[in-house]
Amino acid sequence: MPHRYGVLTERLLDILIASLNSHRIPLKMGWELLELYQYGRLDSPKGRLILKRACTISEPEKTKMVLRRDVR
Amino acid sequence: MSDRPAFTVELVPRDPLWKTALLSVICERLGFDGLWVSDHFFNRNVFIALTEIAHRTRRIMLGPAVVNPYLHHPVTIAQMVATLHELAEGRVRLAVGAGDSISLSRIGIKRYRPLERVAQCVKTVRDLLSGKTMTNLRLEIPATVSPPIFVGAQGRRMMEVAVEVADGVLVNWSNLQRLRESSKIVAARLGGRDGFTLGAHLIVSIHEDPAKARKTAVPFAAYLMVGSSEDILDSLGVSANMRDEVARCLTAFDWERLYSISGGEWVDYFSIWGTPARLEEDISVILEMGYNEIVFGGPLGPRPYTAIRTISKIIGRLKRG
Repeated sequence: MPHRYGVLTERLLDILIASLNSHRIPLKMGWELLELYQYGRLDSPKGRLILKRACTISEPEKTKMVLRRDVR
Repeated sequence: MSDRPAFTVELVPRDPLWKTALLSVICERLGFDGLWVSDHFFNRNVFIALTEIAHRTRRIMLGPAVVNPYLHHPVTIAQMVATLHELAEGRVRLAVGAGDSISLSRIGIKRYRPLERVAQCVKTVRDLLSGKTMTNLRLEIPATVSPPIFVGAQGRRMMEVAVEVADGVLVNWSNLQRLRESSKIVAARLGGRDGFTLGAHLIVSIHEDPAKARKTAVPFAAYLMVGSSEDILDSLGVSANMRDEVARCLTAFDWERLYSISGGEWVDYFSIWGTPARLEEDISVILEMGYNEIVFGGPLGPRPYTAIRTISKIIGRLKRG
């Protein structure tokens, strides 16, 4: 069964996967994200932080909008 | 043909390797049966990507689709498949095709006698993997491997080659009429032979807003259109000038211009785009034609992660019947 992540994490994953700017994300951060996903830890505080960072690097405006919506 | 249809995804390794690997893990978790990784010399290397995917996944089938004998010598293909098998025993498949003549011409390779080259490549790879010695040549890899070998095809004669030499065919059309014609060609050639996989390799773009789905499909449909024969383009009313202009847009990454000239029906012809409901209807029709593998390729949608999750739900419903 696929691991179910929270709504914010899913929205950020949507941004991350759709981005054409993934090359801007440091490779080390990319591999760390993969490990976090693989072991179901993207929703942990560390996982969420790295996912937010990666999304902000690749798609700053879209990430800002999603995070703003989350705060509301 | 196999009983239960397989639902697979084509990954294009144009992004950093970690992202392709992430997508492979996502696909495995969502219940897809397999992954095909495309091979273009301008993207990340297909076999290195498959190596990482083999490490990261446990269940899902995997293989390159499609490699061509102009860019890779059959011996090299056999060697890479045999090595990949050691990482993912029993999960490896291979698809061979003639390649894209426009891409090959960019590196000075002329695609001559594609039918013969593909057929010979499949035979050579199969022989080498089974441990045969061929005129002073054999692989020094002890285990014999017999991965299912597919041929990627669009035309009638390549489909016939597939039936003759391979275990399956990946029909590279995203048009229901063409897929129906292709299924008849293959069925006639098979003459009731079992165990052959008839795969539909689709360019898919889905979104709740069909206009967004169509826009995302345009560049992918354009690549196929530009590489199509004049007969097909004539039937679609695409002039040589239009084709050249689309080709120029693709080469120059001039997307705005490409979108502005992509109002024609050729986008519908070379891709399946629309709402998830439309995709589900089309997949049901394709399965009824006798296809027993559906490869979801292309952009998948403006939001590929959402699209993959949506497609996995569609598959769940189709599997439950």
